[in-house]
Amino acid sequence: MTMHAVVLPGYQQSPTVCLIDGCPANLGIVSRRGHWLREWERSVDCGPTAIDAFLAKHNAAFRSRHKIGCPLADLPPVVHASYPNPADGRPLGDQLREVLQKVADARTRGDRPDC
Amino acid sequence: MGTPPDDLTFGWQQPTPLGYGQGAKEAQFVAAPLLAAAALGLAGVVAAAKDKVFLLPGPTLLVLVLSAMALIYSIQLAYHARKFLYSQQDVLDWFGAEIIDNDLLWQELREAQSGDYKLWERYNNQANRLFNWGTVLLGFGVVAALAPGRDSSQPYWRWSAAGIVLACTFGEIYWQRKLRRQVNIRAQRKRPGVSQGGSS
Repeated sequence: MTMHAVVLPGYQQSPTVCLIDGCPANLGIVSRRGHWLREWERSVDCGPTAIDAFLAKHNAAFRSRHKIGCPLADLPPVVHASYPNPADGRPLGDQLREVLQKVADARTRGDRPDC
Repeated sequence: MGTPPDDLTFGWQQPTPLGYGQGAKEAQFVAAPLLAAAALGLAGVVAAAKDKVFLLPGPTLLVLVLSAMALIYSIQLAYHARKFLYSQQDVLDWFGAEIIDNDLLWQELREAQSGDYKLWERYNNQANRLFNWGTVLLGFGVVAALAPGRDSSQPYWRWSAAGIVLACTFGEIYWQRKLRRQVNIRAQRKRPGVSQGGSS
């Protein structure tokens, strides 16, 4: 038994960053990614009120870190940390466009009455 | 938010800080295997010894085996992650400098590197979490192994050693959480080298 096997400091995780060209946004470490991704998808399914509530809670502190005009600034950090989905064989851009399209469609559709 | 943009332009990605990949490699491919071997070695000692030498041989074995498994899985995840980390220069080395003149292919490669970087980030962070759990569990396993059983000699020395390791293990937990806070504090600063001009 050697000392380094008894205590060895953990090393820090890598932060999640925005992938858009020229965007300096550093979103830090995203915790409980699976849980919050499901909550985000549920919010998108419910409609714009739920989306805005989710963004107010999870993206308000991070939006200003994106560059002006960043197309992904209105997506919460959990989305930045979760895509691409390796089980989805499509390119990253296609997956993110689908996410953005779902949000746009939800805003157009309005709130679901059963949420 | 209106219609989403047709064009998402991805930049070339790099770790934050830049030396992260190299630094993580030391923990993932040097420290983790050694720690896993230490955990399994100690588990073998506990398993082979008479029960009354250790205070709680059963739970001690469980903690040590969990530590070893966490560290082994962290190594596997790190190996899996490593293949997704490469730079713009690596792309140029593989495809040749003339690839820059092919706009469409250059954009595709940049998008692929961005996606692969995200995969590296995700798997590497999972490896990191397991490594940290593994070291903490190993600390607790050593504490449990040091705690003297009924038949052990010099119990006071063993309790003292166990106390020191327990204190160090809590220090380890504190340090891991402090590092995590530092990453999030550092995230509030703009990433160096990334500006409005982009990183084409």
